[in-house]
Amino acid sequence: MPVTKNPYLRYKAIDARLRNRQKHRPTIHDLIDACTKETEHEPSLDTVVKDIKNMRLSFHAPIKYCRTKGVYEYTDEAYRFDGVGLMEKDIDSIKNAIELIQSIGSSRVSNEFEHAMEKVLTAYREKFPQGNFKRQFIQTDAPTDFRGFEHFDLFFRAIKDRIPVSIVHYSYSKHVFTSRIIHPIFLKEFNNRWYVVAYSEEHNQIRTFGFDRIHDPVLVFAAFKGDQSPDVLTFFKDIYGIYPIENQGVQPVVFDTAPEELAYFRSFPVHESQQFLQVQNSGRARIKLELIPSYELIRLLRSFGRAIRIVEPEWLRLQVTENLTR
Amino acid sequence: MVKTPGNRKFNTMKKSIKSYLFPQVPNRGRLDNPVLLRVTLLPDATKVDFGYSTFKSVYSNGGWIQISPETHLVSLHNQRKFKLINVKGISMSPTKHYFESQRDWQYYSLYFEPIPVEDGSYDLIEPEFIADREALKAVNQVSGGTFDFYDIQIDMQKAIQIMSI
Repeated sequence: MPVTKNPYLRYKAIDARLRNRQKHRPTIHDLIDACTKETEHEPSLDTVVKDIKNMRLSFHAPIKYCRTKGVYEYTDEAYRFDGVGLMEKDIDSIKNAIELIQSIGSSRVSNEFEHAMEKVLTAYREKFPQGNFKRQFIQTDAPTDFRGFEHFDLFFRAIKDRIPVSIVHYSYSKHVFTSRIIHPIFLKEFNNRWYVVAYSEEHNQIRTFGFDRIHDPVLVFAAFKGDQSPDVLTFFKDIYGIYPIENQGVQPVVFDTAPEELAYFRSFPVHESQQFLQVQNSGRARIKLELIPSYELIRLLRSFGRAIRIVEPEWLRLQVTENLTR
Repeated sequence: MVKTPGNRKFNTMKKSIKSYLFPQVPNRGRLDNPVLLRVTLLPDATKVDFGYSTFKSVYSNGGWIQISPETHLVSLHNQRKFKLINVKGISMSPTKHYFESQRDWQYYSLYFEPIPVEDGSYDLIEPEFIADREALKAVNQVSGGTFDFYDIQIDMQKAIQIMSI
């Protein structure tokens, strides 16, 4: 929002003028002048009258108009318009957080956060950082045209307020559409893709749905069944990625790596269970994971080609090798 | 229902301000391509959602889809017609929505005049497609049917009210 249209800056100007004991009690024109000085833009008389009304209603400002003298004053001398005690470092932290969120992306969540923080910072006479920075020094890997990301706000609200959602889902593997009622529990990002974890009425179990496969989600009035679900964080703790292989539980996955991959696995552990069973002088290593194998794990292991060799389990070795020999 | 001097029928029932969604809609129609997914009774329209996959298309590039502006719902109770008033995700004929491959898909919605918020059965008829022999032939090759859907059942006991955002 342009500074000239920011009502909170005008509120601050009006507040400061009302509390200024060095000057006479202000008329409406004095308040307009104060706003003009603060925002470098002259507001209309109607605007300032509305501002005073808003200050009374939204901020409980005890502003009284004296009809005989045509001046405004506070009836409660102890009233302070900026009632939040922010230190200088608090303001800096808020500004940094806003800049970080703006760098990551401008979803509605980010915009609402900006708006809320705008109120707080304006109360402290801080000019709100505008969106167009002269130099951008953070770049994330988030794709800008990711299909389905527009559903983020709806699922965020559904989870927060525990509201079931009607969705149309398209399966990439089965090439079929289905209409489902899901009860969203958790949002998860993996490799720049967003997923909603939800109790699915159709499957009678927890399922994960990629945003990109969901069409036209609609919030519906129905009893929320997501509360009966197991702890989702625990569910994902044992998985690398999103989609576990059917009928597979937590199990050891052991593989040998070529020397040139050792640094990679040291720097970026695949999973919190990762252990180095053996590291040879050459750099060749044997690594063990303890998790539920997932499609994403298979894809990761395949991406190393012949630089790694699965030791166990045998079925996983066959799946990874099968793709490489095609 | 009353008859006007122009002999047109108008529904005198009070307009519903609530919206109802039917996540599953029994019908005698196609099981795939397109598949009828959901029906929503909005205050000013009846929204019918479809999904179309080119996976089994006879065309190497997936072919195309379109919808006739003459498409309508017809009540099996009193033969009253409900005209198509809007579309989303599909082109009205003669314009076509072309696919790129046999791995393509399209979700689309047809908006008809609002049907009564009560139990009922409807046929969805697309007259122009039946007249288009070439298109009909292609459709029949894929799944042995037309684009019509019959006996779409609206059962208010299965309705779920929609929450506005």
